[in-house]
Amino acid sequence: MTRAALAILSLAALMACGEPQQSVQYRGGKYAGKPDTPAWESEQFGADRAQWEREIRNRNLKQSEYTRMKGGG
Amino acid sequence: MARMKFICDAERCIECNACVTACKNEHEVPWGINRRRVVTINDGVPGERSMSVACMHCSDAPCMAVCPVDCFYKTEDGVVLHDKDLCIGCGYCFYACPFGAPQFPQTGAFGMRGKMDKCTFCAGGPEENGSQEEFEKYGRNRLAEGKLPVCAEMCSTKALLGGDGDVLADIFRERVLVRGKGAEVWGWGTAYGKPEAKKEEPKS
Repeated sequence: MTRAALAILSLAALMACGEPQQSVQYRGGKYAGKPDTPAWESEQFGADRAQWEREIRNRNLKQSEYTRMKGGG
Repeated sequence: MARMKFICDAERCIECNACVTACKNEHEVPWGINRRRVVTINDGVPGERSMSVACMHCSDAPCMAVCPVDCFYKTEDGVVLHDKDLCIGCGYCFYACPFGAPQFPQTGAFGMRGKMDKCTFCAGGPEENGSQEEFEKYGRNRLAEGKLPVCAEMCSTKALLGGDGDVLADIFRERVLVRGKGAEVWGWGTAYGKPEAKKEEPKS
């Protein structure tokens, strides 16, 4: 009885050494963090995620002057 | 899915502090708060390097780990944000952050520490996108407008890049390959030409 209690107690003490999950959590393929409206659910994009991602990607690529030069602006 | 990151090219940063100014202006950041700073190493010595530093939106953010009220969260795009309604201004995140990103406004006559403020990657906070409440607490939400952080987008030398980490890595890789390395990048050779490039004077 005492041995079992000791084992449970030591396991409980070890739990304190664990690290909390830091990375983005997904449940059922969906974000499961604190609720915040995603950037694409805005007035401009109207929940069109694909369009938002395209826009951001274009902006991203425009940061390279080599790409801008090749594309001719 | 994008994983938003900043990268600062120390070979290009000219310490103009435009990123700092743009950030303060865009978000109407209060007096005494600097969400972004330019750090210079070996200032005044040939070969000095400057770097623009703000919240790096860590993949494994130490501020999130130490917050006693768990006010931090990470968006789907990997942007580390926090909820000012939950923040108690304890300052643990300031000690945990290796970049000195969390800032604390002084409130009241005795300089009491206010709620934490930091770079939001121009993504606002948990309030409704583009709302006045969001702007007052966290600044403008440029991501919801389909734009990248203002500090990176207006950088004149494109030293500071912001956006999807994979795309940034490609841009940076291409840049490094084009410009070479070591003495080719900066120094006497770049400014005045390399010794081997000198033309031999014609013999008379």
